Amino acid sequence: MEKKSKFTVFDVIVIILIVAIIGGGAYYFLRNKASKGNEEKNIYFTVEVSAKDEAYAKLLSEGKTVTVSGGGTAKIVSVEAKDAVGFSKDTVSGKFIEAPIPGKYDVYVTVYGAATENEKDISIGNAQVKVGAKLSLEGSGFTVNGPVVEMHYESEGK
Amino acid sequence: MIIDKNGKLFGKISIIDIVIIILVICCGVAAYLRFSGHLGNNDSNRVNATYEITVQPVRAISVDAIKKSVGLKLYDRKTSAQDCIGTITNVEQTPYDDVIALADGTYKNAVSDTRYSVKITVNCECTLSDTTLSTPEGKLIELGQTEYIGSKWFASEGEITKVSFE
Repeated sequence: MEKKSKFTVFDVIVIILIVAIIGGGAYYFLRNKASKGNEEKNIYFTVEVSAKDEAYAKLLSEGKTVTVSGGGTAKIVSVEAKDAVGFSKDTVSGKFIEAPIPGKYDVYVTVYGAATENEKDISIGNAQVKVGAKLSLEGSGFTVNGPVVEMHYESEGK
Repeated sequence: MIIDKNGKLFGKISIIDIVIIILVICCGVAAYLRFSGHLGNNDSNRVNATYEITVQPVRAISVDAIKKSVGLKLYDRKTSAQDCIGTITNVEQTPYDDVIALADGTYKNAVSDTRYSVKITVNCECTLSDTTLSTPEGKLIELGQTEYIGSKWFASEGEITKVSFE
């Protein structure tokens, strides 16, 4: 009596199909995450916290450790508070003006941390650090948000 | 009989098996055409496109990050895939200007001395058809389109203000 094969052509094709679907899905989801030689770099970056009360400037201080957008950690190396200035249009003179905002401060928080660099991003934890991107800095008793206005490698100087 | 009572062709191969084999072959051919670029060549052409994205108003401190990106790839930040949409070949800054509607109902062109317009020139191998110009990943390059872009050094919103291709 002829012994019946365990696997039919049908089974093999279904297995091929499943493998192809899984492979295709993995390719789609992983192609953008595939990093070309991630490299560790120490960076400095400055976050602008706009038009805040003086209390913010007092609470943020050098040496404090912060979490960057819920990801990795970094250290505050300088805090500079300037009188807040708004950029607006003067509809009488027809000029751009930088007008002071009474009682408010623009706080520039410079942070130092270990980042991962690849062709696409420079990241601390999962947070992509880029000039123009908004990040949050979370520390003991505070969370501040704002755009990154400047960034550079440690090797480029403080 | 070509198909017997068990649904087998010449009594050997199941019709369902044949249908699935044809389906698999079709999927394979479709995948090949999609990823090999042959599909696009039937009614469209690969062209070397150059386009300009204007970002404004930008402060002097932030212009440097954009200038640092010359020679780097530019990515589309609108989608989660963040596909590459070309290589930055040049960055130029000019004083930011705009038209201000005055209180008396007239308009005046104003120039800022603290903010800049930054023009980013991007080069990309694109696909040209009768109706579209798009990147290999299918991102449409259209004049006037607002784009969310970024390189390794910056992230911003900008408008495509010039498109050319050869």
